[in-house]
Parts: sequence; C-alpha cells; structure tokens
Amino acid sequence: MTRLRSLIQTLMALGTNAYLLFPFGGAVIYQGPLKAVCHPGLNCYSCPGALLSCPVGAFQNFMASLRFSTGGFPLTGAIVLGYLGFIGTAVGRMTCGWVCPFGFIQDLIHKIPTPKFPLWKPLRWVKYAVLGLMVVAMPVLFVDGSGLGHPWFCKLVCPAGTLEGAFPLLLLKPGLWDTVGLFFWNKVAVLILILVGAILISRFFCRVICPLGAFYALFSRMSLVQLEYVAGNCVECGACVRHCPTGVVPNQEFDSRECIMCLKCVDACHFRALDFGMRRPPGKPARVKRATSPL
Amino acid sequence: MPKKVLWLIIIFTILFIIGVNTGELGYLMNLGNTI
Repeated sequence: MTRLRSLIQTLMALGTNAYLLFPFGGAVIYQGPLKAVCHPGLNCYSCPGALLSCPVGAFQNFMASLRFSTGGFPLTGAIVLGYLGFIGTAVGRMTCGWVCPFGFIQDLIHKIPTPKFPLWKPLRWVKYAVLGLMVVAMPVLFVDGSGLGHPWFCKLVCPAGTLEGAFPLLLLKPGLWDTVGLFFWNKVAVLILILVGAILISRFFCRVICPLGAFYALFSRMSLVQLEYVAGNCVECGACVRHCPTGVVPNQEFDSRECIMCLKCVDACHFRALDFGMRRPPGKPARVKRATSPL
Repeated sequence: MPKKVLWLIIIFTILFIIGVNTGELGYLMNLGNTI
C-alpha cells in the first residue's frame, strides 16, 4: 500500500504540474481552461508548471472580492466550496495523504536522517484558526477603498506558494526581483521554518497550519470512507501508533480529524484490527476478521 | 451509505452548480490576471 501511495503522490504532483512550455511562450504560467478546475490538494496557482488552480488561493480571492461591487450577482466562492465539500464528504483527509503535492514534499523531506520529535498536540488547533481568520475573515474584513480585499494566507504564510511559485518564477524571470519586498522575505522565513519543522516533525505543516487540511478535517467523522477499528482483533501492540505520520492513536481516537488515511497503520497491523472501507450506517457493527499471524 | 453523507453530497453538488451558473467559472479562469 505504501508503494501505491507513493506512486499516486508522484503521479499527482507531476501530472498536475505538467505544463512544460513556461520557458518558451510569452506568459510564464499556464492560463488555459484547466485553470478553471481546482487542485484537490495544496498546489500553487503560480507554479510555472501548474495546470490547476489552488483551492485555498481561489477561495480567498472570492472572499476578497465579496465586498467589491461589480453590479452583478455576488461571487461567493460557492463553486470552490461545493467542489471541496464534495471531496471532503467523499474521502475526507485522504486527499492530504494521497494527492496533495505539498504533503508529498513533506513526506520526502521527513526521510532526511535527523532526530525526530512528536508534535505538541494543542498545536493541531492552530490550523482551524488559520482557516477561519486568514482564509475567510481577513480577506472579507480588511479591504481597500474600492472594497477589494487580499488573499492573506497566500501573502503571509503559504509555503507552497513560495516554494512552487515564487522561487521558480524569480528564476525564470529575473526582472521580478525588482518587485520583491518585505512580504517575500517574510514568506521565505516562514518557508524555512516549515521545512525545518517538516524534517523534524512528521507532516508538520499539515497538522499545524494547513487550512485545506482543516477544512477536510471537518468531514473526517462523516466522510464516505473511514478507517475501521476492529476492537476484537486488537492486541494493543502499538505498531499502528509507531507508523502513524500524524500521531493518531487509532485504538483510542476513532475517526480522528488528524487521520490522513495514508493506511500505514493498516499495513503495520498484523492482527487486522484496522481496515479501510465504506462508512457503515450508525449502529451497524464493524466486521470482525480473522487475524493473520505476525510470525 | 449514511443519510448524512448523501445529504452533504447533494448540498455540495447544488453549491457547485450555483457557482457555475453565477459566473464563478469565468472568475476562476481569470484569476491569473490578478495574482
């Protein structure tokens, strides 16, 4: 399962950033019809290879233009909300574990051999504040004279934007260095902190800051698929806990909002106490499967 | 499939359709001019 996940992560990261004409044409970034579709994971719109829009950036832009009157029907970001809500309801945070390019980058850099540390659990709540404040509230509240707001998460924090968008663009178009200011250097510092954090703490950004992960986490307890715990098979060996990249204790935290359904725990469990499948209606018990021998 | 899931899927599909029909698709495609 781990190999399959790595393959899908690689294909998604490369496939959705497959625009290779950026060194040639006049425009540096792709602006064709595919940009009307949002990436299910965090992937910068301004990455020179990006074929799809970033859902977080797109939603912030909708929020930022909410008070900017054009005389027509107000654009509320319903298209992004509907799209992300549909994905969240269908697969929850599985998106983070399987298709998010920035999650994949974190998985890769966490392999760098250094001492590893657990995350202080209260920090997990920060991402909900980031979602509420920087993605929804601030773009609506802080507007200029014309009523236009700004995508504050993109401007102040987004490490995917700096790594996948800003750096390659500055490399391809050196003239852009003239426009670099305080916001850029602030984001470089944030990116360094997040990358160091991800080397030391597994999925640091996903667990602490990512507003998209926070949004998908809202659906963790009602998504169509779920990680199923079969208590009768569990011998509490702790193998699942040791393998979990987001620090979940599967036999204590059912339907955890932190679970990205990478299924490492399912692979690690030799007693078939964990399984992945469609969510059952309330009251319907989990299947008890015969355990396989760990020997 | 739990009923709650079914309702959520219906609600989000309707939201998506509303977005498409209020011109948000065009806005998304033109984001490149503002970013």
